[in-house]
Amino acid sequence: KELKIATSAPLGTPWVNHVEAIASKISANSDGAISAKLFHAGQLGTEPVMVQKAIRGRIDILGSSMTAFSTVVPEMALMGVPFLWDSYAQIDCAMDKHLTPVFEPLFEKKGFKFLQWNELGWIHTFGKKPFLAPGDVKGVKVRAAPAKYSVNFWQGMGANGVVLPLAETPSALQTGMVEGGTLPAMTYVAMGMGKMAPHLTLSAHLHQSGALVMSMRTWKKLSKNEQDSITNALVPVQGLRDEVRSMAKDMLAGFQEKGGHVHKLSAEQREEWKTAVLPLREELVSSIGGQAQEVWPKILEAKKACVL
Amino acid sequence: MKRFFQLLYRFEATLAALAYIIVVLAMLADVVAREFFDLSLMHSSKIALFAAIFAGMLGLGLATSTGNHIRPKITDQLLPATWQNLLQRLGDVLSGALFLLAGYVSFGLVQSSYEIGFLVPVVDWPLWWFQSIMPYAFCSNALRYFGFALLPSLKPEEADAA
Amino acid sequence: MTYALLLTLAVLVMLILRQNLIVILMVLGGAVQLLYSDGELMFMAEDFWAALDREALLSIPVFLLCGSIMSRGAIAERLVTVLKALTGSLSGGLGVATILSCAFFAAISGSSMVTLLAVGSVLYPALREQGYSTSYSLGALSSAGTLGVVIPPSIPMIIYGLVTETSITDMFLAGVIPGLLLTIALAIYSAWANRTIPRTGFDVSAAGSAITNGIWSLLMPVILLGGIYSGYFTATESAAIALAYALVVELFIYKELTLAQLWDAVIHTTQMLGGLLPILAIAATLNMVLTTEQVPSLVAQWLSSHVEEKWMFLIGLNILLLMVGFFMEIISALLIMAPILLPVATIYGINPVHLGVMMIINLEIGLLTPPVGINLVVASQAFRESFWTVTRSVIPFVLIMLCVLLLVTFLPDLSLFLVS
Ligand code: NA
Ligand code: NA
Repeated sequence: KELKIATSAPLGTPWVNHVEAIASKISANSDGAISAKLFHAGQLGTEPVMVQKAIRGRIDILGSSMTAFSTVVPEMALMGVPFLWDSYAQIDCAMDKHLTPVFEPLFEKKGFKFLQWNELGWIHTFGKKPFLAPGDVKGVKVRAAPAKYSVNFWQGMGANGVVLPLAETPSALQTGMVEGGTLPAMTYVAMGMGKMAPHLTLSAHLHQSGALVMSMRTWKKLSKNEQDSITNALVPVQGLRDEVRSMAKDMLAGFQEKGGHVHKLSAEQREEWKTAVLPLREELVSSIGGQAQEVWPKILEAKKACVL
Repeated sequence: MKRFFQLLYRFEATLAALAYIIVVLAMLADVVAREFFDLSLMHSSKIALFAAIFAGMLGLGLATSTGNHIRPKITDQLLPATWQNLLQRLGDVLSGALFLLAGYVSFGLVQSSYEIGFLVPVVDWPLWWFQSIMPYAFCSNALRYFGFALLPSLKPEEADAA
Repeated sequence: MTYALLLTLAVLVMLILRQNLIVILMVLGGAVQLLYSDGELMFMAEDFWAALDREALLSIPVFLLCGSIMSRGAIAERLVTVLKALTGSLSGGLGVATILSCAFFAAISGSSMVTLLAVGSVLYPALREQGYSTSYSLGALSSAGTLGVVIPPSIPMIIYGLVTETSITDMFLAGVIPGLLLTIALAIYSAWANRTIPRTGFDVSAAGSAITNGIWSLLMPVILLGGIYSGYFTATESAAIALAYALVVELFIYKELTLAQLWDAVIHTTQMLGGLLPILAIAATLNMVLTTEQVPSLVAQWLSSHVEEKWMFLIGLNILLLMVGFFMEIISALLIMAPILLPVATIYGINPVHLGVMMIINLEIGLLTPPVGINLVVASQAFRESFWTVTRSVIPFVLIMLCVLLLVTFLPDLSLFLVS
């Protein structure tokens, strides 16, 4: 049997290495009976398209971001509520110890076998000028990611959030259509946004997770043995998390060496951002469909249980 | 029957033109709101895109009604000229059947999107609302070809020379 | 093998039964999906929708309508009048004016088809009237019409930028010099090929009044490109701005366009869109089958393992792209080939923007090569000449474009000079 594995991450990144490792373990576990064909860099479509293809069984295993999954499991968007999380340790604990059983059935209902969490890391803020207080972005045109929580964040900050596809963001920065935006540090550096908007503020205002899933259609066609050789092949996600996070750190160091500016927010400054954005939280949560109303308290509980 | 197809054409042409106007207004509203009123309209680009798809899909039938489709003609001289009318009618039946099949298949897609509950990113509208234009357009187009097969006088002159 | 034979037979039957291109592609796509790929027809519908549901595609209908309005109204005509007045004293003046009009018009339209239609509808009758040969007139308009994809703004460049995550603004800048080179080369050929046709002489006051009358047309590229480069609107949105500007100028300044004509333009454009959009979408479903079966990456792998020198790779790349251009429509070809070729080209140290420009010019030539040559089809449709007459007429122009392609390939600075 040949499984199609897809991700939007390009070759050579931790995400592709991670699924490659899983793929070779699957093949070893099944004595070569199951092999894998890897499609990287979004060859099979944009993330939301790949999500649809995976449900319909054209992609067997998919690693994607929470933004993409929220087009079918809307409750995933709750994980991206701004200023929800305080630290990576807290997030890891909440996801691994408390939230997997909450989301597993939601994924299953939509035709996915939830395999494990995915990790993209903190989302930070960047601009042509330093963004240190909500006043710095008041009325400023900034790029918002095509997701509710991104729009909600900029709304709270009082900025003019323009929803732009990632690929259009560099040219929009270049021409001055937008003055800044939000991205994971790695994407910010890798796409060279720092050349046009050299001030990165480590706002960590939201966390972008994701999931590695299998199409239920494929899953149900496998024998018990074959299913086991897949579940036993899941390389622990903590390794991926560590790699993504340390790579982000290294890239930021390189960025600073080349003259980029990295700003840290003091506790008071971060509190100021939070105060600006929090009043809009309820509106965001209630705009999220599905069983968001039942899931949201469980996320808050998980967070509470993981105060470290 | 002629009257029916005329009405269908008028109906779809008006809708398509309306969709076109919506495309342009939505795109302009986006730019104006952003540049002059510091506002970002989350829905406008999606409205524009779906309106453009509607215009294009409705245009499929309009192009059929007016003979605007590209048709390779390299084999037109292959068989005797007296056969052409028969071939044409057979061809129209085939086209009609294939578009009907396309309508059926895309209806399956819409149904599946409805059942799974896919949402349009950011705005959270159900995707199947917009995908429904596919089965509609393919079926309305199939209807036209069946019409041509029954009454060849309905068939328009071909506009191209390809 | 049996399948391939059956498919060929099916296509032949469909041709004899006078099926249109959409139906033929639909059947091919469905058959390939069932026989060689994922195996469900619904997947084709899924790909069809995914191909339509792309924001970059949004600029296509709007640019089409814009072109249709400009060619019905006075913008295109007055642009042509200015260039006619300026080139009348040259050898082959109207021929040169044709090339320059296309180039100028290309700077306000995102697609080659629009350029061809808008300028062609005004100039084709004029060329024939002044004694230019059918073959030259057809060839010049069809070929110079393709300048629309190299001279910014350009829909194919937007698509390349999107799929390779290359800056669209950089792509636009990189297209300027190669676009001018192509224009100059075609203009020189036009002057030479039509040297026997009598000149009309240069009339200063006529030229002056043509410019005064045409100023709103002449300003259009300035507003469009200026707006993009100063961040007022995105490259995609520039289509809507172009349309709004064209409408205001036609309805309130030139006042030659009636509301009835405007309605006509809208309906006509929807018909054109209805012929085009489904073809684009079905082509995309065929491409998705190729990707799923990893055909392009196998080709690219073969290429990189058999070719060592950069110059050999560049030649091979151009030959591959020209061959792709024979069979594929430009947008689908970019969507499928760009993400595959980019990593290979990076191995040879080729700048992504340079690669983009090379791809665009190759595929631009593909617009003029049978069997799938959109500009040939559009020209034969618009000027009521047979497909083969048009195909023969573009041969000298294609040869010139190949020469410019060689220059652009081996002198990367031609593309990269303006890019920061
Ligand atoms: Na252009
Ligand atoms: Na071609």
